[in-house]
Amino acid sequence: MRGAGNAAALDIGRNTAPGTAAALKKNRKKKKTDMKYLPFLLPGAAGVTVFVLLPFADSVRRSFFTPLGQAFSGMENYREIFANEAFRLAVKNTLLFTGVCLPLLIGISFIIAYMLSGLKRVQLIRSLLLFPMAIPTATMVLIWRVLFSDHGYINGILAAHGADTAGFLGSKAFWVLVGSYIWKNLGYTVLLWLTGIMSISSALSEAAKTDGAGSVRCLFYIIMPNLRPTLYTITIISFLNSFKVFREAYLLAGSYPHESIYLLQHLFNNWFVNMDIGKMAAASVCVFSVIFIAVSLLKAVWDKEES
Amino acid sequence: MKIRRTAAMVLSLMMAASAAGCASGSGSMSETANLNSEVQLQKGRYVEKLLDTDVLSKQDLPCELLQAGGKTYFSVPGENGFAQYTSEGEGFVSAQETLDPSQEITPSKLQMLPDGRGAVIYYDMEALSSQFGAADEETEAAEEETADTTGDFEFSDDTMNGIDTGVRFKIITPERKLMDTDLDISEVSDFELTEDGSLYVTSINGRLYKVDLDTGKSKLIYEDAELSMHNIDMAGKYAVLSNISDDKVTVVDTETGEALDDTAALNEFWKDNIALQGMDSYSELQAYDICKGEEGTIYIVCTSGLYRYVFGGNKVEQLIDGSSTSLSLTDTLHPGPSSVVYEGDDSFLVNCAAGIVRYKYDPEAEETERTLMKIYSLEKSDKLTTAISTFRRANPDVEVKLEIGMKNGKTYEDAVKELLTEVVSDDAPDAIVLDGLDIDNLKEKGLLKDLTGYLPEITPSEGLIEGAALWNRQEDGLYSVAGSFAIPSVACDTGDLDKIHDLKDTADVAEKQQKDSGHSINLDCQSPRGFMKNIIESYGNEISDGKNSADASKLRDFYESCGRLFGASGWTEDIAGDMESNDYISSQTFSSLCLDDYHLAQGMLYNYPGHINCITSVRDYNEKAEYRYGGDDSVHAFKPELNVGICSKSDKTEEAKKFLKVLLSKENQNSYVDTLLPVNEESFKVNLEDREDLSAGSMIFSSTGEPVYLEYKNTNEAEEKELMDYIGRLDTAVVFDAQTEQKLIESGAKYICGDITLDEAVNEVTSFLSLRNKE
Repeated sequence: MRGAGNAAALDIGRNTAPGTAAALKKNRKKKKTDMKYLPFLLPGAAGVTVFVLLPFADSVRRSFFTPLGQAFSGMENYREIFANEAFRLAVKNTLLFTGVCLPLLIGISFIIAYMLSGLKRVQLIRSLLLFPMAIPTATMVLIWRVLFSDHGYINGILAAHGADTAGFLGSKAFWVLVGSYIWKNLGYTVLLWLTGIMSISSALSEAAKTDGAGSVRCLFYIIMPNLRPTLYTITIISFLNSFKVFREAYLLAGSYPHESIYLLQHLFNNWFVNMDIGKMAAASVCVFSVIFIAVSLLKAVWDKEES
Repeated sequence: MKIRRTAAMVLSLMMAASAAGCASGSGSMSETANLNSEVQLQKGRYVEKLLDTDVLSKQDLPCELLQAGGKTYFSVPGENGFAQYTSEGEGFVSAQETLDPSQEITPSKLQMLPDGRGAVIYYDMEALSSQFGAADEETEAAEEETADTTGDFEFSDDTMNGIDTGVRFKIITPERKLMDTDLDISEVSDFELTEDGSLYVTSINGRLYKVDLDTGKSKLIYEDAELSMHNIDMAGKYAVLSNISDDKVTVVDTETGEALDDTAALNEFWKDNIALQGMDSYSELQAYDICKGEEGTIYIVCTSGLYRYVFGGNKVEQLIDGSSTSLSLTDTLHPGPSSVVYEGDDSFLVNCAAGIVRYKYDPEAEETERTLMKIYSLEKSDKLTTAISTFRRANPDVEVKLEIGMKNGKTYEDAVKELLTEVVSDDAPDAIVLDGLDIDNLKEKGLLKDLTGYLPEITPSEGLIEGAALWNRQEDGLYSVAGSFAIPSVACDTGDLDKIHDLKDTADVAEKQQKDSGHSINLDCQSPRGFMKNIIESYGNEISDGKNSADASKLRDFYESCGRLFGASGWTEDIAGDMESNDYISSQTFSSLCLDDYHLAQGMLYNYPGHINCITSVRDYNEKAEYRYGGDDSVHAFKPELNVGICSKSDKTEEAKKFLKVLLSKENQNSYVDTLLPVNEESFKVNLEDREDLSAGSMIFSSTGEPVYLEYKNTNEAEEKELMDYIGRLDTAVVFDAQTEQKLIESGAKYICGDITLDEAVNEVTSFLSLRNKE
């Protein structure tokens, strides 16, 4: 039997050998076929290279040169930016803004999304959630101005009731900007949460409920663990969006706003206007590095949890 | 599947090709630039020729040309008569004509046909005064108000609709008699005679009349209330009605009395090139004219060129690019070409700042080889365009491209970013007008060349007023030269002038005078922003830290004084304009001081006949009053203008040097002495001479509201010495970059209007300066 078996095995082996070769050949052919996608990537890759990678490489080069690129200045621009008070202020404000906005946005949007997920006709309000994103920034800023300027609507109400008016675009400008960011991004983030919550199999919740779990336990042990991929996506998007709030700050208070909302992009903008190209390039390299490290760390944490 | 893949491949290749196309596109752009900068050889062009206009004085030039019977005519109004000019060969001959001596009139516009018939618009001061007085009384009665102490006159609705003043618009008979028409002079806005002897008139209330030159009877042809105060240009049977502040032109067929519908292309051209709405400021106000061409064709001339439009066509075609011709020349009297006629056979006569110029198409003329030089300026300036025109005439082999940063609504930031983009992409301008830019910063970044070594080449042999021209000379070099300058001045009652040493004292005196006289001082504030601009220019040295920036610690006192001075001026929103003129001077206030109506005046002096003669006239007219150069008497302050530097990245340094040489040359600076204080020593001295052609004056309203024409008197020797003494000791340049100046003006204007407190205004500026310094 053994012999027969071996013979059979040998047969198999003998049969396999030409079969494996054919499979390899097929695989090789398949690989060749797979390479055909490359030309299709070319336009996109060319665009990214021309409009993102090369300019960034040029920024890196310029960060080691004098403002108009006439002479090599070594690490001078980097030394200057770290000694620069405005840079430190802008970094501090930007970090503070991101630090305040991210948890607030993620927390508030999750609560709203969780509450909405219980509704039967949640699809109907989905478009409403995207409404703030559809409003042009310039229009939104105009509304904020009408509301919050020194002679704006809110101060008008305060004055009418005998209360002291507040300088919303002065010392309280930071919180106006936080409000603006949350308002603009809330709907979109709620939508992302909702999509995540909806994609969790109802069988899991029903099984848990059958086992006696209440809605709180379901939330913490079923829903939240299953929303980790969504959390990762939301965190990355919100983090990057927090850097885009410059548009609002710039339109609201110009290139030299109150110190509390003086962000990195203000500094970059003003350095550009003042022709400080070297410092601007050095700061961009630093900011890119920080963002890259932050995103990589987030990804590493995520990958670790996944595995 | 295969087809789909092939299609996808083709599409992707197309996308890639378009991406590559972008790259090659930029290549082709630079190729075009190279072509522009090197050789432009092409046969056939309009050749410019300046006609013999020696018989004309500069003030005579902005007159309407009239083409009739193969000749060109124009009439220059004078006292009780006019000079009639007729084309003769390559020049004009003139004849002095006298109008009916029984009627003492001062013509302001006059046109005469070859047969001796004509029409005239004129001032009748007596009638106008009585008209103003009557209207003032009506306003007062209606509003039950006391006399307007500021002396401002407001037109009532009745006035605007044409009060019957009893003074008629007149036509001229071949016997030089004046004949009344049935139109009131106050109603007439403009008129034009046509070759066939017709007279068309536009009214201030939007009516178009045809007037019979034999009987003086008018016939209403067209009416549109929106066409108020429009000019008229006749092109055959079509009347083109236009107003620079309107964004469209109206073409009326005088035979049918209907307006043409299909003039979209003409209106678009108008909006883009001439209408004031498309412009950023009143400094871009320009003259223009329209004339008849071949059947159904009109020609339009303005500073940007000469254009042809065929009625009903969908394009306005440029025949001559104004930028490289005398069409772009401007000065105070000529904000561009004021009249054009088509002589036939591709030949035009244009009346412009250079004189009367003929443009004739020469099919054999070849473009000469030209080098392209780029000049950058944040804002458009007449002084700059004049300098460029002078440069072009002296260097016909150099083509100049003028780039204006802050145009079409672009902000300071946008403009500077664009400039920097050009610099880093090796397309930097060759010469940069540094007015409004942060000169020290540009120097620090290495964008400007040290001009010290070029000084022997660019300094004119006549010498320079060095304190002004070379104000920016520092230990490490000279990075800009100034083409002109302005000086502050203050005038008031002799006793009070001794008390004024700075802005604070000026405000004290203003408040005291307001209290003593019981009425506001007349600072002729057009707007709070205009007021702030004027004060910052006059007293800016009190807050300038000498580094193109402001000293925050001194701001509080400065703004506080501004607030008090503004308060004493009695400005209200009712009398507000929104003018923030670049060349702001309160000549009204100095003139009022001449009348002894008001007792304080201050402002910047930008030129000789209109400004310096104005303030020196204070002594001549009012022996109790006195003036002084410099607002703050601790320094000899001035505001340098037309500061020009050479870009370190320029590869046309030689051309840029030539431009600086022309800028400072006698030829250039003499050509606009009536609009600025020149830095060329000889040109400045020419100003000091008694020049009849530059005599000036102004129409002012007395404190009782009466219009008075005040003629400025020329300076005497002692006054000239006093001026030269100040000029010789200029030591403090008041210079702010546009961003800082705008911040100072904006916060100051908000404070003086009471929108924010003094602390808030100071905080706004200091936080801005603090952040900027940190950067």
